[in-house]
Amino acid sequence: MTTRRIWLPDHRGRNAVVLLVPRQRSANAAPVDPSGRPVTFARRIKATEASAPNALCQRFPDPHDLARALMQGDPEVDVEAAGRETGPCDRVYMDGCGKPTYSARLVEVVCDRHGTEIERRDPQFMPANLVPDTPPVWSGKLLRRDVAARRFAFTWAYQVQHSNALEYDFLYGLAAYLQGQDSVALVGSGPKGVGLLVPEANATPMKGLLEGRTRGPEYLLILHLAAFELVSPEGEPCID
Amino acid sequence: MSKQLDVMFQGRPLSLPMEPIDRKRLLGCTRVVALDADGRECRTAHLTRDGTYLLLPGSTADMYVDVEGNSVERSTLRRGDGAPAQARHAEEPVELEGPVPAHELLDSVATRVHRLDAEAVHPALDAALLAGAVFRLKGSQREGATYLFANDVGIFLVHTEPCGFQFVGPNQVVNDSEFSEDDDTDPFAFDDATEVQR
Repeated sequence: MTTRRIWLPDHRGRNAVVLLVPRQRSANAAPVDPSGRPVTFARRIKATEASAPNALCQRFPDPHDLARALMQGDPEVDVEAAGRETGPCDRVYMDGCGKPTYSARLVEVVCDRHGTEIERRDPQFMPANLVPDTPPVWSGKLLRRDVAARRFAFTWAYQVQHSNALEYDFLYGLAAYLQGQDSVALVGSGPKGVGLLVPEANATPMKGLLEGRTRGPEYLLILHLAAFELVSPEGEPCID
Repeated sequence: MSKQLDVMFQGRPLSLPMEPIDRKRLLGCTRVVALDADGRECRTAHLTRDGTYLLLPGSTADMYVDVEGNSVERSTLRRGDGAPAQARHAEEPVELEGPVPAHELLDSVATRVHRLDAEAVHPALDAALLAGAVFRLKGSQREGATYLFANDVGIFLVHTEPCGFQFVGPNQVVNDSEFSEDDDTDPFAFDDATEVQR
């Protein structure tokens, strides 16, 4: 269970730490079998280290020996393990010789958009920045809603919600302002409030745009996160 | 341009070449790889919690099982709400609905994006798109919708899923602990490298 929050500024110079609610997947979308009964996802063991194809090829280098062994003894099936659910597992790194290694060194490989490696460096930790150390800044940058909708690929969205009456007042005012402007506001990090948002540690930095609507005393405030801008692959992307 | 989108626009069938785009294709990516003592790239395996089995890539099978534990063929699965579990393969051109308001896109999140070859678009459709029209593909998705629109740099097809957010009022009681994140990382993924896109 994670409750995400964001320290949000507004056009009036006020700010508050408010709730971010992720979108909920439809419960009705869960798969069922042909008779309508629910099914569950399972990951089961096919082969173990000893019965894996590569291990068998090493054990029987001659294809004729391998074929004979497969027909006579079924070495590819570990009857104790095959079909068993894996359950929770731990990640293990295998070295170049196929043995577990206890001292793997992690390296960050940077690739360009063609997949070509351009840099190797030590892994860099990127902390989340939704609740910064210093009060956030209202960027003041507004973009018409229809323009924003056609310019960015919004791959993630959170509903911004209040948890007390003061926050309600703050968020309602912000939603009403954005609706009145028929615009979305750029919400970001940094001294100008235009930097990318990192929702969680080491997550993809994304551009944040805030959309607001009101209906009577109710409001809907959505933080849209754009992973990238809609440009052609040959074009110069400018998510930053 | 690797795929084709077959649509009907004003009674005319159009076949539009398209190619997928994503952050990786536009901005590149950053992968974290593990190196052994000799500087060789490590492979990832998984060890069961009881320490009994070391599971190499390709040594597990993903499946859906019924209440009795029997495997259920994926092609026979249905969604709980009655819609087919698999996306429909378009055999006939899909009709374009609209124009629809552009901000309808903001009620959903993009799941896949394709860029269309602008030169192959019919002039009538091209003119409508350049004027800012947003079209929705009729019945193209099992949930959510697929939109066709243009901006200053190209024509795009965006597959979406609905956000499902509701208006909230002053008396809305929000329980901090009732929300959980959709975890879109697969702890079992047999990736030799963990990708962190920056």
